[in-house]
Amino acid sequence: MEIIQIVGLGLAGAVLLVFVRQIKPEHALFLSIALGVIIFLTLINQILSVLRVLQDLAIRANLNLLYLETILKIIGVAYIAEFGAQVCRDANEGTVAAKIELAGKVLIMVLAVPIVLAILEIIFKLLP
Amino acid sequence: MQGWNQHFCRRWACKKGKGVLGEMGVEMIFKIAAIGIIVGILHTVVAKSGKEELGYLVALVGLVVVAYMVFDLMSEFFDSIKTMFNI
Repeated sequence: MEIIQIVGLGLAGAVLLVFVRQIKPEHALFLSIALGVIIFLTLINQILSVLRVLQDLAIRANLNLLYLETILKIIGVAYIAEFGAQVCRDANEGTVAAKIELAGKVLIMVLAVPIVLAILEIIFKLLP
Repeated sequence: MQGWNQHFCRRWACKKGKGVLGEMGVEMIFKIAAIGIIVGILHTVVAKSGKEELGYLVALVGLVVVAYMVFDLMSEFFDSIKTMFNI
């Protein structure tokens, strides 16, 4: 049961965070970053198995693998941007967080351009 | 797929059959918290004994040590996301 481990780690980390934030607020920021990263690294194996199933399904359905790859890239960009924005918001830097989110949105848009183009091409083919 | 699964297993998951949390995670969190508390106490003690600038130096060194550890962890995190999602 990994969930019990993760919840335990989260609770212990939260208690320590409250302590450390009183003494040294800048250490508390690093502590919360480490907590988030470690929880993600614990989940890696599960994410991997989900990704493998997705890839299997895409191959079996004869999908173009380009689309799946684009979706995975978008998920990765979204995750990293979200992480950075949360850390900045944790440190009371809302403006920096907003900029990071803007960058994430722009990069996702750029990644999605080939799919949009493909859809448009299909529509143009349908039109007489 | 196989290649990076082995990579993660080697780095994190399959050390003596224990998960990441078993060894690395809790240890890291407690280490960072301990450094924070100790540096805070040291800073207060040194500053109270009249050496303000030495106190700031202690706080700075503690921060740099913690930053080194956390940046190591973060590079691992970004690496794993990069390989996982093929960015």
